[in-house]
Amino acid sequence: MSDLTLRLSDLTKGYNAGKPNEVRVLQGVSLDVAPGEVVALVAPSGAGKSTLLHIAGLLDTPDNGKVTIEGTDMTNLSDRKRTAVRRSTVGFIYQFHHLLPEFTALENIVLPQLANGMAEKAAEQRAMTLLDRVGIAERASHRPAALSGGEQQRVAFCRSLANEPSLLLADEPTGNLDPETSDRVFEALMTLVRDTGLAAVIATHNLELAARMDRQVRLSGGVLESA
Amino acid sequence: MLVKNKGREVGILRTMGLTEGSILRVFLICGAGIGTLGTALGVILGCLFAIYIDQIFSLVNFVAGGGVWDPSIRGIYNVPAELHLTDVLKAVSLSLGLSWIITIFPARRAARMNPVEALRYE
Repeated sequence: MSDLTLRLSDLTKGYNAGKPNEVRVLQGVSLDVAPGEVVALVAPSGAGKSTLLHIAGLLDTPDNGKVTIEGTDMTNLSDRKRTAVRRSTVGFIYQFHHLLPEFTALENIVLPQLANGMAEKAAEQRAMTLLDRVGIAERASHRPAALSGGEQQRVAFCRSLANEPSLLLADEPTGNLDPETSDRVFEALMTLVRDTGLAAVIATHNLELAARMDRQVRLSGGVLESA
Repeated sequence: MLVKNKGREVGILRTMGLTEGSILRVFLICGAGIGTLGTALGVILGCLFAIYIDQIFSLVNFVAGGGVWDPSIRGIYNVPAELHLTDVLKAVSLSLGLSWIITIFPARRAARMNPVEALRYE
């Protein structure tokens, strides 16, 4: 088994190939992320960081190149197998919380665990533990609409870690929050990530937040370079 | 309509790792549930309508001030409303069958939705 949690090898991705409006988003992107390492992905809007995260998280496929997670090449796996890996090994956080509005905070965290075959009681217990760790256990029975922006994003963090993934991918997780809340929520995220020892790639515009991570890479002109 | 409105939720569930099959089942159960509920309500209301057709007729006549149905014009002196079990069963079968079959197509569309696209254009 590989020592790396995530290896992206020479990824390319484009849209509208052969047409006048062809866009080549990724042009040979390579990245290694070791267990416990937190990498800041810095890039301006439209540079392709969401595309890169989607490919790394097996939600999208590259035109060329290879995605390896925990030593297994994911490139040619069937959709069913990629979905299974995503469920058990990858956690996602988006800029917007993307919580299910009809469910409570607790239920939002329980759901992915049930999908992963965990018993309901155990799933609820883990969800409560996670909510407690980000300081909003008392908000467990509230629906997303009754939570503040910071609380919604904390619930999203908990949901992403519900199945104890080894890889966390976050697309500007605090980008939708005011600076003060962003700082507190980011601190909560980093504490969770450090405590669980998982590998993380966190896209951000905020250079101050990026500086608090282990390593920074910049996506520019379709290629990654050390920042 | 449900599939169109729930695109974002489908994207979220797929991101979480729910399979296409799971999404398909969610929408099938939901669609079939709505179809079954609609059929049940239809049967109850339809049977009540047939049983109480004379009273309903009188009520409409009363509200409209009479003359809603003038037999001398149409030559029909009473509205036949007989309730037969076989007719009810045929109607139930047709309604359930159609509602369940029609559910399959949007459910398949939801299951095959690209999660990235579903979340991007929410």
